[in-house]
Amino acid sequence: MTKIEVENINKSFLGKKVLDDVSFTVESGDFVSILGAANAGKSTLLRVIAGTLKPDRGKVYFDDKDVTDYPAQKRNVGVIFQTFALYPNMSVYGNIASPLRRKGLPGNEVDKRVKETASILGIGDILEKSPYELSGGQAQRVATARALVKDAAAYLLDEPLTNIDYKLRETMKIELKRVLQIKKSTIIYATPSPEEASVLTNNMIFMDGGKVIQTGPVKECFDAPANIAAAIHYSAPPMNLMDARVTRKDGKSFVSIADRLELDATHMDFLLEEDEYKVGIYPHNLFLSPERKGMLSIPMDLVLQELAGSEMTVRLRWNETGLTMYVPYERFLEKKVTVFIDPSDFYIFSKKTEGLITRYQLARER
Amino acid sequence: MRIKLAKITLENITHSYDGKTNAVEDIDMTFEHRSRNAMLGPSGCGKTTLLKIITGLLKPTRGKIYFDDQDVTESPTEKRNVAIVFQFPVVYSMSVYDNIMFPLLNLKMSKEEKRRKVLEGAKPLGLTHLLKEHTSKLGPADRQRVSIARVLVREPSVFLFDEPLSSIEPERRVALKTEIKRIQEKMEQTSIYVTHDQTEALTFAEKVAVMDMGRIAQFDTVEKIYAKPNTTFVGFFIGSPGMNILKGYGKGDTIDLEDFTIKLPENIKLPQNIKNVNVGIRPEHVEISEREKAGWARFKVEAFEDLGKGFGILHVVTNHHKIRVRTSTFIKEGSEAWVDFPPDYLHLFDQEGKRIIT
Repeated sequence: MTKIEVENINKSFLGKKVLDDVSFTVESGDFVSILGAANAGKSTLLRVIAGTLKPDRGKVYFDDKDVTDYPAQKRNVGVIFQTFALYPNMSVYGNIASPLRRKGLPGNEVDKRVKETASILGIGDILEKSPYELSGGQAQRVATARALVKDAAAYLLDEPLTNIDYKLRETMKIELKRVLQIKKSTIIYATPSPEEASVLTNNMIFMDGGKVIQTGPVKECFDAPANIAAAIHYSAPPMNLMDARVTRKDGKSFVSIADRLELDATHMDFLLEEDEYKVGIYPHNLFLSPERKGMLSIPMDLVLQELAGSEMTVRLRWNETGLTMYVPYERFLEKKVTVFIDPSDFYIFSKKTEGLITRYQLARER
Repeated sequence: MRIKLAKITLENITHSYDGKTNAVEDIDMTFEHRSRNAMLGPSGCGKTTLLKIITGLLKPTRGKIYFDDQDVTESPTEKRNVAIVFQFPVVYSMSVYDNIMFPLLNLKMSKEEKRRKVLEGAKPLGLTHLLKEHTSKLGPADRQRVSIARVLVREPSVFLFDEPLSSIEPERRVALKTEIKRIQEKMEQTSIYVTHDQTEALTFAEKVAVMDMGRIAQFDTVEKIYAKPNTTFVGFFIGSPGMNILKGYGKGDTIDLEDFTIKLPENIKLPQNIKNVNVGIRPEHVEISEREKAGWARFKVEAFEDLGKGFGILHVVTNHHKIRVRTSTFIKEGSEAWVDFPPDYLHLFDQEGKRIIT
């Protein structure tokens, strides 16, 4: 178990900044996800930590020791990449055993460890197969086993589930969590999926455009996305964003949303000046029935209903604004849909800085 | 000119590429007139092979294919008048307008009418303002739009979509989905949408054919595919996550699941000859409680997948079973949980995974 710290890491490729002053600490034994879109800088950062890429500036510390100039093999980290290559000329067994054999471990020790790791990953029965005979999911498990078979100070995983078909992902997610928990090591897990971050890890780091935007417990981050980019990436489908404006009239403040809805904001006027804003709401906070007291009911037009058996995504139009609703069950909808919203699920972002200002607060009754 | 519509019948189709294993086997099915269909299955299930057979790109080893009552098994693709939208958009290196015009070039039709048709094809896909653009300037989503518009103006007898969204930028998929759905609702032709994605299949089709290892596991309405799966495979493949399957033994009006038993609903009687059964229940239909309840089975919580949306998937286990429960009741890992299977939501399958009673 190793504490990993990165400090002011900068990296550019061909003059383009890929990592922009990245700093954070992952405590020893913590399991942390790095959430971000495809070009957020996640993989580059993992390579810097693994030691396969040298940063232009900044330091990497393992247990407070500066390892910035250490080559990869001296850092003792296990890495699992999104695209993995198995040795085609070796059996599954040979592939998993390769890191141990390279270290010169005795044969019986190798055998024990390979079998142990393979059984945790549920591939104990395919050890004699050649990589050609494997399905995508099996191949990913073999690659995972190969990375986990040696005891490493830390494990870095770069989107290990992204290239796996969705049915398998359902089971692999929890399997991976179990395997990694057994390892009791420091783990950094890069993913574009908010669901994976939520299911697998307690703490997260959100990156956007090479910068660290937000860090903290996953649930807390999701409940208070630091800016619009975060809000978009903290749910799939992404948060709905609408134009909004705050106006003052006769000593009262109002926030008008999507030119359709006007909410009293007098009690919040110390936070909101007269200006333009973006108001966001997560798709899973739009409901088909009044789930809570005091919900607004808003008629909208159905655009498309995407069914997935036990859940559905509903595309709606509210005046000129497109909205997405996520419903954890299935039901056929008419062309007109009444949507229920709890106003305290609205997030208010600055239009200029895109930063989160506040959640809409209900006025206290006096 | 009226479009000639076709219903498609596959009769006993079997195909083998290597003469040893069958890529598709004993396919017997009819895609009705004006129906919207999907073929759904994991990679390697045979759906692409079947699509090639329908289009005429592949001659089946055995079996016949009919368009209406006409045997087209030996007819080449160009005689079948089928339109295919491929996974990777096919566009010619010319303007959007010329691309859509392409299938009309050799038709006997006035210039004016051709022009009108191109505009008609472009409109539902939102291409009107892009007609002068060269296709090299377009991204995957717009290229796919062009290829769809081009098959629209051709007025084919049958529409085939082969994973048309898989190579499209994720952020542009919704718009394209909406357009495809709208076009499908308007068009009179039978369509078949091939995909490995359950959401796309259930969204675009009235009837879905779920394929498993070269066979049609079930060809049914969207509702039935979910509510009455024919096999354990269909139960597992549809739903997120898929159906829980528990092995048990039938004993009169109860099923022994080793760690606990469940009582069958009164209207359901197991056939005498069936002893080994697979009990299916969807994760969203399992009842779960933190507190002990009379008649409920005791499980242990192994893990909780918090999906970050106010609910999640609880993984609970007994000595013999491992099931998933979709719930907003968060129970701590390691604690006990009591589980009930409401009789109305039970599915019974035989040892081989075939549905026993409907």
